[in-house]
Amino acid sequence: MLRYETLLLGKTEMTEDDIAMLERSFDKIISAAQGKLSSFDKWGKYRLAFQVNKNTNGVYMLVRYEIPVNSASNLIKELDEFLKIKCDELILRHVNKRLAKNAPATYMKPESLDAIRTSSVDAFIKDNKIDNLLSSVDAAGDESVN
Amino acid sequence: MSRNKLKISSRLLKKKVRKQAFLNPKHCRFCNNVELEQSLDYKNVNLLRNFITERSKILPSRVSGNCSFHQRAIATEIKTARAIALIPFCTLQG
Repeated sequence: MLRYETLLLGKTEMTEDDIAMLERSFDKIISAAQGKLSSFDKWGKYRLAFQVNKNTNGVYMLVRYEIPVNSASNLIKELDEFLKIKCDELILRHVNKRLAKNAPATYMKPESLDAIRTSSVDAFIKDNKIDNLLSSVDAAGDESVN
Repeated sequence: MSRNKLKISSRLLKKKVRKQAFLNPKHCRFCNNVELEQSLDYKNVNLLRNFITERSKILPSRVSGNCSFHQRAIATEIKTARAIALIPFCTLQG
């Protein structure tokens, strides 16, 4: 069984239904080739490095799957056709890659816009310990805070 | 009082650089480091940013210190990351 992964770049207008539809169609195509879908991760919204078809933001999704040796090349062709033709309006780019046998299951991914925007100003100040700027006084009663 | 400008010829500077390269040779950070090698991925943007310039050009191996095997691996990963818009092809200065 060979391990593959596909990184999809979709538009930000994608709804939850669209993503569920994508997952189901991936499942169908892969199981038709006697393979197995390992994981479908939605990374979230990201700011792109350059404009892709006039979009500055995009949604990334990582799909990992295992397929037998004989059906590998046909499956990749089918996936490319499916993503280019049927999902033309949803998906902007995609990259297929073969994973090594001993490759670890964990991977490093860049920080998404959702992760950056959910932290508040007070949390930032507490993390960096800038005591004089705290808007609300702590219950412990710091003497340095006016 | 006129300043005496010390003119250092470029020939001497080049000689100095060559000597430093001989005395302090750079080592490849991926060789003999299995964890780092396995984390070498087009998705690992934080690692790849160490090997591109401000204009998003790939650094040569004489600057980054990579061996030829890992320099080629890094170059292919940067190129796939560029294709899927994780790293820019070119950033303009200023």
